[in-house]
Amino acid sequence: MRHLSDGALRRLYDEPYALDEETRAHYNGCQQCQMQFTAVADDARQALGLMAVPAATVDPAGALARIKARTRETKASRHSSVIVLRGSWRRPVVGGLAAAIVAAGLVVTTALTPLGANLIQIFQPSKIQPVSIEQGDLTGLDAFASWGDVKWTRLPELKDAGSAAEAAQISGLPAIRVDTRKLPKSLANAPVTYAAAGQASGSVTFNANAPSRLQGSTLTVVVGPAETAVYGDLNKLAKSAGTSASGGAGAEGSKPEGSSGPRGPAADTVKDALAAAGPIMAIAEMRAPQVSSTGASVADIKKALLAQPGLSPTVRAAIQSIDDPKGTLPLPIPSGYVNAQTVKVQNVDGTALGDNTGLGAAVIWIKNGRVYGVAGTLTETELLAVANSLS
Amino acid sequence: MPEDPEPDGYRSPVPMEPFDRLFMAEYGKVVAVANRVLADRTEAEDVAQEVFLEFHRKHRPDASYAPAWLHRAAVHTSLNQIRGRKRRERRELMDAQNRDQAVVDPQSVVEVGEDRRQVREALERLPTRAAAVLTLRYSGLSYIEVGAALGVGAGQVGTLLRRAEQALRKEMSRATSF
Repeated sequence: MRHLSDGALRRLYDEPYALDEETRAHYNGCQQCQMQFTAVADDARQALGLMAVPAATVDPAGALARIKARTRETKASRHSSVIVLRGSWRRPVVGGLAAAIVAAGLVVTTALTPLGANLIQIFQPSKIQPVSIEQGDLTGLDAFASWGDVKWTRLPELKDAGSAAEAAQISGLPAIRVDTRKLPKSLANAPVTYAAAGQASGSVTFNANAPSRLQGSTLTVVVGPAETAVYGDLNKLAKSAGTSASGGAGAEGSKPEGSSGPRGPAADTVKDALAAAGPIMAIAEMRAPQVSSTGASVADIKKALLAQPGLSPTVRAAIQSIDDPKGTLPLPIPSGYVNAQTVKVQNVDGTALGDNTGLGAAVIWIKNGRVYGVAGTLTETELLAVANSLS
Repeated sequence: MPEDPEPDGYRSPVPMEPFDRLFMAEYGKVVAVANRVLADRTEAEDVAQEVFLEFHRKHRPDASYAPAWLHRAAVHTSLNQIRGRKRRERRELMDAQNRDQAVVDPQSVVEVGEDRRQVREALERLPTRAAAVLTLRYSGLSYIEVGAALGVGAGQVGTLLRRAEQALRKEMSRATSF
C-alpha cells in the first residue's frame, strides 16, 4: 500500500476512526508515515494555538427573538396588521390559530413583539379586552420597533413535569386541575404532558431613535412563573406538523408574500396536519406580567405613541385605554383571522377567540393576578366548559 | 427527514418552526465560525444575524444545504469584514483585557492581543479557501461539515487543512521575522 498522504495524516490526527482499517493498519506498521505524522501533528498543534480565541458564549433564544424582531421591522410596512400576533412568522394563514395559542400563553407574545415588550406590559393587567385590528392599523407604529431592542435578562426555562402537582411545585402556582367529566370525549383518554417555567425577565432601553423624553429609560418586564398541561398526542403532532411544514413552505414560496388567505392551500395543509394529529388542548396558567421603569412613565410612553402619525382610531383607542385604572390589557386581534368575544369564565370576564379557519379556538382570562388560557383544536364551547371546570 | 437535535438547555413545549429549529441548532456554530475570524463576540453575533437574515430571505429553512450554506456564509462574511477595513490595534487589546479572564498579567495581555492581530492579518493574506478551512475546522466543525461548507468531499478536507496550516505557519513566520 502507498504511504498515507499529508491530507490523510492530517485527518488521522483529528478523526482517526474516519480512516479505513487498511489505512490505519498501514500507518501502524510504517515508520515513514509515523514520522511524517509527527510533522503534521506539530503544525496542527501550532495552528490550534494560533487560531485560539476566547470562546463566545451565546444566547440562541435571545438571538432568535432579535432576528424575528428585525424581520418584523422589515415586513412591518407590508403586513403591519397581522404581525403582532403572527406566531408562525412566515405563514400568515396560521396567524389565526397562532393568535389563539400565543394569546393563551402570553409569554411569547409579550416578549417578542415590540408592541408587547414596550407597551402592553407597562402595568400588571387584571382584565383582557380584545381589539380588532384591521390591515394597516399599526402602520403608524412602524417606527416604534426601532426605539430599543428587547434583551432577555433571565431566560424562560421550560421544564418537563411528571404531574400537575410537580408542575405546581416547580412554578409555585396552584396546580392545574381539570374536572375530567368536562373533557370532550375525544380527549377523555388522551395523554397529558405537564411542564412549568420559572420567572423570566427582559428589558428594553429606549435608544436615540426614541422620542427624547423616553431616551435612556429602561423598562423591565417580568413574566412567569407559568405552568402548562397539554392534552393530546404531541409526538403525533410533531410528526404531522413537520410534514406539513415541508409542504407548506414550498407552497408559500411559489406565490407573493401575503397572498395566502385564511382558506388558501396552506391553510388546508395545516388543517390536515392538525386533523392527522388528533385533538390537542393546552391549558396554561401564568402570573400576570409586571413592568417596572427606570424613568419613562406610562403617560410618557402613551404620549409618544399617540404622537406617531398614521395611527388608526382603533389603535389610538387601544393605546389610550392602557392606563385605565382597571388595568385592562388590550389584546390585538387580526380582523378577519380570529373572532373575539367577551365571555364569562370562572365568574370573571374573559375573551374567547374563535379561529375563522376552523383550526382552533382559545379562551383567555385573568383572575387573582394570574393569566389563564385554554386553547386547542376544539370548539369554543368545549374549551369554555374545560375552562370553567378548572379548580 | 430526521429531526435536528435541539441544543441542551432549550426545550420547546410545541414543535418549533423549521427556521427556529435551524436557528437553535446552528446559531452557536455560526457565531463560533465568525468569532474565530473576528475574535470579537459582539461582531461575531452581528455577522451571525446578517447571515441568518440573508438565509431567511432567500432560502427555505428546511433545505438540506442550510447548515453548509450558513457556515460558508459566516466564514466569508467574517473574512470580508476583516479584509474590508483596518481593525484597530487598540480594539484587540481592549478585547483581550475585557474578555480573556485568564490573562491577568498586563504584559501577557499585550502579547495575546499582538498575537491575535498577527493571526487576523495572516488570515487576511491567505487564499480565501485556506482561511476558510482553518476557520471552519478550528470552530469545531467536523470534516464532513467543513467539506459541505466548502463544496468538497470530507476526504479532501485533510489535504486543504494541511496546506492551510503550513501556509499559516509561513505567514506567521514572515510576520514575526520583520
